[in-house]
Amino acid sequence: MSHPEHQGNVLATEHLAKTYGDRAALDGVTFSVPRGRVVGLVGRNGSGKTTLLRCLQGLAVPTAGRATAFGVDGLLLGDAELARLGVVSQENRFVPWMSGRAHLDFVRTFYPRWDAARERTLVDAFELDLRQRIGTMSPGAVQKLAVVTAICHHPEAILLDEPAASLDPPSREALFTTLFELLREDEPAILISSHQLDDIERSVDWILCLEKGRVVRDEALDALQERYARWRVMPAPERAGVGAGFREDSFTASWIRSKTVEPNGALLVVEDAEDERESFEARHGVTVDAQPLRLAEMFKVWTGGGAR
Amino acid sequence: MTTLVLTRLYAGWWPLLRAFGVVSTAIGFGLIASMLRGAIWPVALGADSSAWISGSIAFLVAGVMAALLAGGAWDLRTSSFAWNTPALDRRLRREITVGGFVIFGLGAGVGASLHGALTGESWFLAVAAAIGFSVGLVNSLSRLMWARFGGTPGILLAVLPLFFMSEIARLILSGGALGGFLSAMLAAGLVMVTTDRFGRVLERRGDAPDPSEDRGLAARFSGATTLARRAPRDGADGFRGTRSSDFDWVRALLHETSGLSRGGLVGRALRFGLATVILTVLVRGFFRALGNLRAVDATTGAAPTPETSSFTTVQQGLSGLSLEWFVQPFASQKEEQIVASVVVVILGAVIWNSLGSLSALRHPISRRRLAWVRWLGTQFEEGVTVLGILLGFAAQGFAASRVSGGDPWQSLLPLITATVALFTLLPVVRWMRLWLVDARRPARKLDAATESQDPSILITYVLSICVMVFGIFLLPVWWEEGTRHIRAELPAALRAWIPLLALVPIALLRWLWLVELRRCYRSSDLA
Repeated sequence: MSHPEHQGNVLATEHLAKTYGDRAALDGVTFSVPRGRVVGLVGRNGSGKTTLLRCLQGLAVPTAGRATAFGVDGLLLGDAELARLGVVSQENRFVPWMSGRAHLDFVRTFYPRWDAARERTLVDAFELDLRQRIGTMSPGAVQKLAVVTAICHHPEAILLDEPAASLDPPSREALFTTLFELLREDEPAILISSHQLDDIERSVDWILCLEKGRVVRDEALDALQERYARWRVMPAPERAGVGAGFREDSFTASWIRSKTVEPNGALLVVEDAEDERESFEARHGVTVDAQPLRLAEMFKVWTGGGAR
Repeated sequence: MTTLVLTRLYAGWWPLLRAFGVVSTAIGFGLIASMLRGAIWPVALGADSSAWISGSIAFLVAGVMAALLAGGAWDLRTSSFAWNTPALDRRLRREITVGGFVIFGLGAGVGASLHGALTGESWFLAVAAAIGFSVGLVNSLSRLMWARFGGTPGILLAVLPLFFMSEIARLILSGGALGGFLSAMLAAGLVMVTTDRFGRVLERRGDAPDPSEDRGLAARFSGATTLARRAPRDGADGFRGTRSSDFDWVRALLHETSGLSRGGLVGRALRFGLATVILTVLVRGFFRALGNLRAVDATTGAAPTPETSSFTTVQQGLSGLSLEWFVQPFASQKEEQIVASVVVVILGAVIWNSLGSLSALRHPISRRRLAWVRWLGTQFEEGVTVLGILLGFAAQGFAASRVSGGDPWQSLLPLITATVALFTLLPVVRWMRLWLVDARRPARKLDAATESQDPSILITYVLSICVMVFGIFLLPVWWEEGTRHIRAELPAALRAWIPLLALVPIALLRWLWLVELRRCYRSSDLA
């Protein structure tokens, strides 16, 4: 059941809503991911990331709206579409009495396009001991096995829910390197949900941020990095000896997203403010040192900062 | 007192199964010890039958209670939050100890109300309860933990009194109030020692090399333990190529669920066959024991008269336990039907428990096809399970006919009828589970490892047991009445349709189960 409006978009949602009892996990989420795009799905705990991924796989039934993969409604995904999807879920519930080898041999029978060479490469890269039973593997090893399971059949869309949560730094490095190689080979659409914002920042080209089940940012990472900046505000050289005497209410503007003010300087997080810089310097008698903003800092701005 | 432990008994939605397990092992301990005792060293008991029977019941009740308490304690001790619960070991030890003394005290109290205060008979109940409690605690330990309990001496201390029950009974009953009191104090000491030892094992659990070995009673029935063990061929199913047909998928589903059972469906059938034999033997023996235990004059073999029924008369004994009790069918069809109903309902509870381990099969399969494959899988599983049960009955029937020369089919008929009724009603049980248990659990916890203390789970369980009990009674009646009516009303040629009519409820319920599965997979969140 392909829809023309979805052509070109491998993954998409339209006004997607999902409630559990009286709690809304997703509330009118609309976004799309075309082939070849790597999207970082970020949000605080309980913001609806996992529910969104489950709706896209057809595991969760939307309360309203729809989630589609390859233009097909999640609930109607057939064997063929599902075989084009690769998934690493937060809870990898593999059969614990199987060895790693038996598991991969079992899983490969579900996919006509299983790539044994890629499997060997990944197993070597992740240093997986396939003789071990899954029930006795470390969480990190199971996570690696999940990644191998998810990408050896050349999926056209990959959904990764906290894929690096249990991995050590070298394994995280290997995982993201692998994803980049995949991107070169297959150009899949990739949706990565993670709290490791540094990893996200260096791996993705698009950010989708959820807060309380709603989309608060759906934008290219480059564009976000251009729009957001950290301004280090200092008194102008001619006022250096006098003392700035900055106060909390010294700087107010609609494009200031957050500020930390001290008597002799201030740190401002600003959005779409490049054109305002000269007038700001002149108005306040200050100099501004503008620096790019890290994703983690943008995330605080979008979600209101502190832990929930 | 036991709020900490008792709430755990409902966890994992198999309280009846657990109760069955502990009851049968407690009965088994008692029966085996008595039979061994009778075979090795027969001694006339010299006991009044009513005191002896009430003592036996006290032993069983205390044993079951101890096993339940210990099972709950092990569940709690091995739960994921145990490491972070302050002083859990100490609290568990205290609860088990208090439980032991409450049961001991209840034994004495009930004994006093039945036989008068401060008499040998009343103390005998307390002693029997103390011994039962000790045996129940030991029963919850795996072999690995025996060493920590005190090795062979420790185990013998707890179990050996059972072997010498007849001497203990005679001593207490002939010793009067003083002898009874002294024996009761010794039994209280036994409870103290066994609870103390059990507490030590609880505290040292962390040393265990394999956690699955230490889950005690729970480990004997739960799928999770099986999962942790090594599977044949490391869990490989041997399928080559790419799965395309529905049966390829059914095979995958069954491999994920039954493949863990060492031999897949064949292993499942054999296990159910064996469970059927053991269960029928125990239930039959238990019902026989209820009706047949009586005092006899050991010198004449006759029932005791008022003149010979003094407690101190050593020429009296109990009519001996006989091997025939366990294999011979009852003469009355009614009694045999009761046995069949009890056995099949308990097996239904075991099947209910195994339903929770069904695979989620998170592979590229559409919801619609998954419903169909799951339905096909349940047909295979249920067919094989019921076949195993029937084989168990058949083996037992033929064994009984070889022993006594009777017609095996006559005794098998109620058992087979009850099993067919069970097979007919299994989709209803599955349906209740699907909608009233699984549907209430959070989607991400739809696997066998889920534990819930939601009372609705227990209520559903009880409801489905009621459905099975009534169904197993009513279906054969409906069938018997219906066929009689048809035979009376219809010409001979049309009677050939009677067997086909038996298939109608089976097919109808199974078709409804498919409809429900499809509806569920179309509209529910999946794991």
